[in-house]
Amino acid sequence: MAKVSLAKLKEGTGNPDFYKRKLTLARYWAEREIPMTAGWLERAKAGADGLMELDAVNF
Amino acid sequence: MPSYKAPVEDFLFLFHELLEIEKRTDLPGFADLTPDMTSAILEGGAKFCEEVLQPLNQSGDEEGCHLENGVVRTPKGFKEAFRAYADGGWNKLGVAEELGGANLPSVITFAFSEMGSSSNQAFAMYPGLTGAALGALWATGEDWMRQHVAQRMADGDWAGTMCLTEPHCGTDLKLMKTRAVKQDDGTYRLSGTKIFISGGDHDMTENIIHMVIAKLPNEEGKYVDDLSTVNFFMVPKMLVDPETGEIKGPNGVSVGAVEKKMGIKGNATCVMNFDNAVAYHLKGRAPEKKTEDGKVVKSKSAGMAGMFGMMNGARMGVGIQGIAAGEVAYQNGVAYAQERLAGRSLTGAKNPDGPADPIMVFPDVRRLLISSRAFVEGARALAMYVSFLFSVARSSTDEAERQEAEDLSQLFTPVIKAYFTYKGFEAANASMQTFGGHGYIRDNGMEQFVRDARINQVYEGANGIQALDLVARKMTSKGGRATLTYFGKLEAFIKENEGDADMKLYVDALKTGYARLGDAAGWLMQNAPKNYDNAGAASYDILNIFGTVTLAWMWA
Repeated sequence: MAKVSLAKLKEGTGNPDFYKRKLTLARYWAEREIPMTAGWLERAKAGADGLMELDAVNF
Repeated sequence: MPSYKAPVEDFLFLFHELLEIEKRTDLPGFADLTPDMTSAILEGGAKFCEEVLQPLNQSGDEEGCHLENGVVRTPKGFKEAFRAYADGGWNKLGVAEELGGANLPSVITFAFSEMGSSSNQAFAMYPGLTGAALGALWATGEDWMRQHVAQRMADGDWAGTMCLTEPHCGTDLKLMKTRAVKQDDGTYRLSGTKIFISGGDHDMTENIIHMVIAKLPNEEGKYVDDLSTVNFFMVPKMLVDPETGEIKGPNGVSVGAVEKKMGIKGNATCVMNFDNAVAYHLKGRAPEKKTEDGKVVKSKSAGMAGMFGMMNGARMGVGIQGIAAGEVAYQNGVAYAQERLAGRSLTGAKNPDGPADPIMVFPDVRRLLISSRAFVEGARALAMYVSFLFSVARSSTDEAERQEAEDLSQLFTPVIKAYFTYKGFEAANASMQTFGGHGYIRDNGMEQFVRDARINQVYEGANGIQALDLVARKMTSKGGRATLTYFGKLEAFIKENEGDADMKLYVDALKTGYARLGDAAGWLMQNAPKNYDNAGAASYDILNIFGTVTLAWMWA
């Protein structure tokens, strides 16, 4: 969506506020959501043992 | 009182600037989808949702559904709205032309379903499930059912449901107890109890067509816990004469109870009892499959293909309910943040003539709102892209493209269901947070969005099951073909755009996310075969990485 929005802003067609907002939202995703993937990756790689070691009766 | 304005401008952007659907004149129905046509449909749908469905959302929640003398009474106004929905043709957008439908592609039907769900999720489920049941009946039913039953459903005279879950089993359907016994006349008698049946009974239509799964005895005449004995049936609430289509009187179908529940209170969630009910086996056109030694056999439980078709569409529909909840809650959060005055901006007064600044000046309030909108619009882009892939998979004349679209839409379906409903709930919750204490007060409508959105993470296969489906089946089946196709697309996009300085921020983020997704997939391949619990333990985190990276692709 950023690519199309940049092109539209360059052309000067359509509603510029609409495309500028798209770029702000794309920026949010790049700056503030993508970093979350590092934490999930680290957690995924922890494997199953830590979740499975406790005997069911001790929950 | 909350309000709703349908995001028509964003749909038009996705259709005509991002996806450029009108250029795919090779796909049936797409040549008509010019911007003039799509905007007329969307504007009409928006008006209906804003003016008819949304005003019944809060009152429907307050009133709820009640079981009275064996019949469920829906909230005030629902019956008239259901009629108006059908009279406006909104239930026929995607219906076959033989039934008087518009047969429009799923980009249109799913766009409309988002608007319906934003305006009134509890109501929208009645026509939504009727449409799903109708689609399955159309695919698997006999001629008389198409003529006399499907037609009445398409006309909005009769409604439909999906009956799968039982008191002791939901996800693990092989454990079900509902049984069907064949009669000499070729019909069946079906007995058992189904629970959590959305729209299981109501007062909006004169008949309700239940699409039920039940067991048949195996070759030795025994009922066993084996999925291959599970079959698909049509069970009408009121008996229908196959010759004339006339209603002949009540069938053995009754409502045990209406559940009291957290949200979507305007939708009747019923316990349904089937007691020797007349049932029709939906055999459908038996899909053929190749066995390992190359023989072609007909699948045992043929109609089940129709059932699974219905469920795949339903999972996409639930993901879209996640977007819908985020959208409407966000809109109301923004309205409040613009109006509510409290304190001063951290960098000096922005409303110096007023007693305080609007809370929109605070970065953390903006975080709540921007995070919601960034999810909603990214998710909507992916939902429309996958809706478009459904059409490509069905109708493209290029076999390679058809296969690729099928692979990708299968791969994305569990992500759309689980990630969208998780993030949609978060967005509704964040938007409620902007209201402070007023968000917790029922009259303001924000806590209803949160309560209603919560079910989306649970039904149509709980999100944990979706995550397991993603890592254990969708990413890995056929040697990981779908995953490799998807990764190829990401790499191509990155390569094409990494030289563009204006795109750097977005492409770099996508590269980072893609590297981590690839890392996760590699870890899975190494560690799952050693211990399958590793796949289960990592599944939810990997699904979140997958969803976040895929939306980064949409945003780039």
